[in-house]
Amino acid sequence: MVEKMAKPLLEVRGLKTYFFTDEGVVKAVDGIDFDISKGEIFGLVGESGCGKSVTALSLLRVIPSPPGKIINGRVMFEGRNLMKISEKEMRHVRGAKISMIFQDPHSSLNPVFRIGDQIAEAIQLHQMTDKKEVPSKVAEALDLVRIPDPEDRMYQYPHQFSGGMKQRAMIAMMLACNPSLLIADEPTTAVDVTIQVQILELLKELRGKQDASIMLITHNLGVIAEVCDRVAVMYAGNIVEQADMAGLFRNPKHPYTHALLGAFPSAEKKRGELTVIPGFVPSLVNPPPGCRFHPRCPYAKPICTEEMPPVVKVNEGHWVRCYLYEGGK
Amino acid sequence: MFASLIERARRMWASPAARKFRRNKLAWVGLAIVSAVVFCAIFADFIAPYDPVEQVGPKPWPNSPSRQFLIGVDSFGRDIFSRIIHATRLDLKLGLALVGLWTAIGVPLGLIAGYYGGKIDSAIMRVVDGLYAFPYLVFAIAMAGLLGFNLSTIIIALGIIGWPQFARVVRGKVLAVKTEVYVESARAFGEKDRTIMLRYVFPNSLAPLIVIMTLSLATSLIIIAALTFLLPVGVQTEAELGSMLHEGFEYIRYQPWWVTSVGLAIVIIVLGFNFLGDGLRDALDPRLRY
Repeated sequence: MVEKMAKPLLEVRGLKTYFFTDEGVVKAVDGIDFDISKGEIFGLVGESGCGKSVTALSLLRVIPSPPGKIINGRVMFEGRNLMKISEKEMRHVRGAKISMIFQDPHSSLNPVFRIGDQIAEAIQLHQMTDKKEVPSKVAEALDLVRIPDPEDRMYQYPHQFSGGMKQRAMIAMMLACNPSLLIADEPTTAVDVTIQVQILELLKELRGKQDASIMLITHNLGVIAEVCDRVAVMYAGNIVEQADMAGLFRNPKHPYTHALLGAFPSAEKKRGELTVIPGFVPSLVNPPPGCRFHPRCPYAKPICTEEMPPVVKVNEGHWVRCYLYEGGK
Repeated sequence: MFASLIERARRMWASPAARKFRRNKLAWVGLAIVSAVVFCAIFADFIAPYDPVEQVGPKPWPNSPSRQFLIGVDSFGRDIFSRIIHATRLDLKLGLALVGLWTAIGVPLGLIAGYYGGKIDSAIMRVVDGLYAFPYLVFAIAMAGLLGFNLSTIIIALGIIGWPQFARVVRGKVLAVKTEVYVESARAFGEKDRTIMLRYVFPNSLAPLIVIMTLSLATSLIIIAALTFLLPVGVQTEAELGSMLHEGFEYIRYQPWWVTSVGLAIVIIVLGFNFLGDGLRDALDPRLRY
C-alpha cells in the first residue's frame, strides 16, 4: 500500500466522516489513507465538494456535530491516535501541534479584536510565556510573515488590513505556536494572483525555517505544482491516486487525474482546447456503486460499476485505485 | 492614554455606522430628547423650581397654571412642573432596571441557546414561546397581586415576563455569527467553548442588542407608566408619571392641562428613545444598510 518510509508525522487510515442530514447520509469522506512525513508539503487536490475540507476538519475533530460524525478511522500523530484521545487533550493538539488556516482571510479573523491581541491570545493559549514578552513575540510573528511595521500594525483591527495581509496575519497566528503540522485549506483562493504567489513562497520558506509539515488543500493544480512534494487526488470522498509531485504530473494514471490535468490550462499546451470532464460530481448521499468515477469515466469496464477498485502500486510512492492497472500494467 | 481615547472617538465618528447615524435627522432629534431627559433626571434637584412633594401652591387645590406654577398645582398643592421633572428620574431608573433585568436574563439564555443548539436550544426556546403567550399587563398585575403592590414587585414581574425578546434577538444573531470562519478558526486552534462564546460570539452579536435595549427602554417606560396608571397604589408620594396621570385623570374636565402635560411628557420621552433606537438600528443593522 503506502510505502514504508521513516515513521511519518501523520498517518491516516480508513478515515470516514459522514453527515447525517434529512436527505440521507452524506459520505463526505469515505475511507481514506495517507501519510504526511516531517517537513513535507502534502497536497490534497480535488473538485469542490469532494471532501477535502472535511478531511482537514476531521483531523482536528472540529466537524460541526450534529450533523457530522467521524465514523471510523485512525489518525496517528506523534504516537497518539487523535480519534481516541479526550476532548481536553485534543484542545492541546489544536493550535499547538496542528493548526489550520482557512480559505477566506476576510472572515477568519475576529473583527472586534486587534490583530496583535488575537496573535497574543494564540501564543498565551499554548505557550506559557512571560506576559511582558508577548508583544515582542507578536511583533516577531508578524515580521516572520513580512508584515511591514509589525510594532504599529499589531495594534490595528482586521478591517484595516488588506486581504493578503490578513491571510499573512492568519499564518503568523497559526505559526506563533510552532506547530508541527499546518493545514492550509485553500489559502490562496480568496486573494489575487500576486498575493497568491507571495503566500505560497511564504509557506515554502516557513517549511524550511520551522521544519513544519504542511498539508495544502486546493483545487488549483498550479498551486500544487508550485509547492507540493507529494499529492493525493481526491474524488467524491475517496483518494483515487497518490504520487510525488513529478510522478503525478508526468505520469498520471487515474482517468480522473488525466481529466483534471486536461482541464487545466498550461503554458506548454499552446494550442488545443481544454477538455471538460463530462457529467457532474456524484451525490455523496447516493454515490454510484463500485468506482465512484465510473459514470464519467471514458474507460469504464463492467466491473467498475460493481466493486470499488483495489489499490494498485505504480511506482515507489505512487499508487492508484483503478481497474485499468490491475495485473501489474 | 488620553490621546488614544481621542483617536478612538475620532475613528468611531468616522465609521460607516456613525456616518449613517449622523445623516439621520430623526436620530438626532431622538438623541437630543434623550440627552435632555437624562439631564433632567440627573439634575432634577437644580432644575425643578419647587420640591416635588411639598405643598407649595395657593389654594384652591388643584389650581390653574400661573407665572409661578407653570402647569399649575395638583390636588395636594404640589407644583406639577417640578413633579414631572422629578418623575423622569424615577421612571428612567425603573426603566433602566427593567431593561437591565431583561438583558441579564435574556442575553445569557439566548447566547447559550444559539451556541449549543440542539436540545438546550429547544428547551430554552420553548420557555420563550410559552412566556410570549402571556400578556405583559395581566401577568404583572397578577404577580403584583400575589406579592403585594409596590414598585419592586412590579419591576420583578415585568422582568420575568419580558426577557424572551432579548433571548430571541441574541440567539438569532449568535446562530449567524457562530458559522463565521473566525469562530471555526478559534476552535481549530484550541479555544474552549466558554472563551469562544464570550470573546468571539458575544462581542460580534452586540449590534442588535444595543438597538433592542434602546427600543425596549421606550417600551418599558410605557409599560411601567401603564401599570402605575392602572394601579397607582404602588406609588406613595414620589413623583412618577403613570400615577400622576392617574391623579390628573380625575380632573380632566376642570384642569385639563394637568393630565395633558403629564401625558405629553410620557409621549415625548418615549418618542425620543424610539427615534434614537430606530436611528441606531438603521445605522447598525446590515440588512437595512445601503
